[in-house]
Amino acid sequence: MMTGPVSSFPRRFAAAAALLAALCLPPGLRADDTRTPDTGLLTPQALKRMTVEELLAQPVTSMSRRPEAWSDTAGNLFLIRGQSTFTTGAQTLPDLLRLAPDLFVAQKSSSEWGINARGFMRSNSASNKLLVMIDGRTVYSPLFSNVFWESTSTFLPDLERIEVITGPAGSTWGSNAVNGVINIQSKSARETVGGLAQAYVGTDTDSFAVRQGVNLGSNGALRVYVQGADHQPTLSSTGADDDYDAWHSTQWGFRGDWGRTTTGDFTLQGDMFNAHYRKNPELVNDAFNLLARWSRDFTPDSQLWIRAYHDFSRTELTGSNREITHSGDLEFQHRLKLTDDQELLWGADYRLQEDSISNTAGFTIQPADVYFGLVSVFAQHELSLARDQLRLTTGLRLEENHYSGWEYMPSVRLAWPGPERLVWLAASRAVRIPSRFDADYYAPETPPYSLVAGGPDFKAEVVYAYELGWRAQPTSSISLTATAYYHDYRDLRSLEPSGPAILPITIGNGVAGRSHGVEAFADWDVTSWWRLRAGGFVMHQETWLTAGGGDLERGLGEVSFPGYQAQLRNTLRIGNKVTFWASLRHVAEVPVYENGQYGRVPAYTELDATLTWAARANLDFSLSGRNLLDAAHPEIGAFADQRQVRRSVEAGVRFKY
Amino acid sequence: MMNTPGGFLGRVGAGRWLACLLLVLAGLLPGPAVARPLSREYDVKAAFLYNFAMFIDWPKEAFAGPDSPFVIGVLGTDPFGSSLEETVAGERVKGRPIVIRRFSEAAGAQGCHLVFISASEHRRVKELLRVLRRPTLVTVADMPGFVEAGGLIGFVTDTRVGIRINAAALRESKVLISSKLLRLAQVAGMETSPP
Repeated sequence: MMTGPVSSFPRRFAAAAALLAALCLPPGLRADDTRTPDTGLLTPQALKRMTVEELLAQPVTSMSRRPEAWSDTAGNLFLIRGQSTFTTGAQTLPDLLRLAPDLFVAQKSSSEWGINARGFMRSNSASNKLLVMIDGRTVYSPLFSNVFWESTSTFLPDLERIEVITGPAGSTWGSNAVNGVINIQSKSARETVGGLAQAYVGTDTDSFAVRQGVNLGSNGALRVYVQGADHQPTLSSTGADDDYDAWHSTQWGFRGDWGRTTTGDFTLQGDMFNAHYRKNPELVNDAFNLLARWSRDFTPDSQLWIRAYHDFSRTELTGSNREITHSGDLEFQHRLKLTDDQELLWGADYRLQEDSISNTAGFTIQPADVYFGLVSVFAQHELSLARDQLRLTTGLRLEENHYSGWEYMPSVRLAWPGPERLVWLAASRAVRIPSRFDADYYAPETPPYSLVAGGPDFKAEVVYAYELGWRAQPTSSISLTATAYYHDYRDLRSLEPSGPAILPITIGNGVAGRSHGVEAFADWDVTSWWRLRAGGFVMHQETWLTAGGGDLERGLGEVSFPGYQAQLRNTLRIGNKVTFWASLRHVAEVPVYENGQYGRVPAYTELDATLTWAARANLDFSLSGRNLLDAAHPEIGAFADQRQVRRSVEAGVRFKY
Repeated sequence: MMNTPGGFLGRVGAGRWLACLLLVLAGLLPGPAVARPLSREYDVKAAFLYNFAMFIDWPKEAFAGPDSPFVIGVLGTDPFGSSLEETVAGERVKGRPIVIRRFSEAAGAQGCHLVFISASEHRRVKELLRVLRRPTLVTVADMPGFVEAGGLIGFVTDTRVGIRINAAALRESKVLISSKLLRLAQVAGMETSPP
């Protein structure tokens, strides 16, 4: 069998890498208790023994430039911090995103996930209404209106944080931020000086990760990393081990940061990614990106950043389709404090995309090669009213795309901060712009296109959203949030028949819908060593055909979302060295619809748990179990496509030097 | 099939070679061995707060009794995490135990000796400073313009943390800042007369 030699490589590699890393260590570089084991930074205990002169000379890394606190935001924002990665044993981004109680994260196969907020997911897990970015680079495929999570990867040990925003955010983040935005941020290279080697082995995923960071002069740093992972297959819908979807990936990259914010701070980073999914036919993805960012604080009241990136991806389904895309993007933002009560944030973005598809089987994307631009400008104004008793934020983004032309995305947010609580209201309009999958899709592969004749008149999908949020911190150890929303969707994608003959189908905007629901979260530090968190959502969505619309999917194309979800998490620190983390989650049944048939994925309850042990200041071990309550269960997918995710156990080790 | 296991292992071989090269190069570069270790911004600021407690003299009337604790307050969203507690753990200020309090309104600063005003309160800092104007309370913050707004000690953060002291506010205050600290800080508003 082919998987034998392939699956053992990360194990051997990790062992070799760790050994090599240990041998490479110059003497005198061992960690000591004046450094935080996590980051190699000096500990508070070491700092307090310094003189004032030494403290003044002590270089620091800045956590965040924008002083706005989480509790200050007039929107539903949930933060996942980088340090959660090892504590929870997460080896993929979707594992980590399960920590956000407002997100529905459904694993469809070994390599595929559907992730969305507030409804509207297809039963094949595609979610076209959630925008995802890594360090400002969009990983939402504007050509297929989806996020391919299997090729969305970052070096998790150096993750700074993930911001999960539910609700429309088009005026700030641009098109496709319809139901939410996920913003993944890696640490500055200044925070990752030193070496790290990490490896996991287990029943589902084996992986390794190695990073080395060095200082560049007195205020710069550079890191390079390499990582690889090997994932076991899921079971078929009938529970058979058909060895269908095992996959492996390797990735390497770097990030350098230098300069200072007052005179110009520069970041250059890049990643190369390669993955082989599924055999028979085999799917292969190669990707590359390079990103540069420059920022400067002219004064404390005037800050500018400019960012440029290039992104390349090549996906090939052996013997069938091949797609090559290039994107180039240039963006700037300028923040300006106008008066004591007013702040202006404005900017512009230009993106150039090239997409080339070679078609063979079943369907075709025409024209095969396209080259188009995306232009957008935005401004956001923040005003304090009534002696800071109210804060009004108004924003507007104008964006022009190749298919539907100019789109507008306004928003109005009103926050009412008070002692230990914040109440906010928001109204916004956001759009999901057309993609090639909407406008350029034809079938069969050669003319005449007697089955599907594209979407020549396809317009952007639109949402009007109204939100009410409340956030409180009644005591220093308890924080609570709740958000209620109503979304009104227009011009949703539909498959329109052409007269009584039905064929050819055209892709149109014949569906409308609405959804409403509540998202809530509570965080309780019971003692300094015990933390409890609980959260979840309830959601109701309806869709219908608009006048003249004849959607062949009866408006049920994006019905796959649970009516509610709840999770309870527990973090227990036992002594100084051991941490026990556990997460119990319940997901209601998920409706599925495919080819005129209506079905469901049954509700399930699962438990994930991880025990970590800090054996030495620079050496940690972990033992994780995922999906512990069932041998295997499906999370999304229609009928025969409903693959079952297995219970898994993984052991990990992390060494810092 | 196009991709044989040999083909894949070939790629892995290249990756392994590259990783080894990176590691070896990293070992050769002037790395952490010669570099100054970094710190988190708020760990350093916590160490400064502890130093302020040590290098500033509060009058007796600032304390209820000879054994009353020295109280450090954090007003607004706490940026320190656990670092403030870790810094003062096991320490005393002139024999007094150190207590840390967190609150979101100015009223919470009653009984505090040193209060750090979080950047989350930047919109209402002037109003807070009006309410907090007490001769035995030292106000500290790291938001831009804090010292100009009437705060006593401001942190200036770039790649290092600097301190600025408001001379006018100091003259109004009943605390005594050690000359050593004054010498090392930037003193703002020496020329201007008190408001």
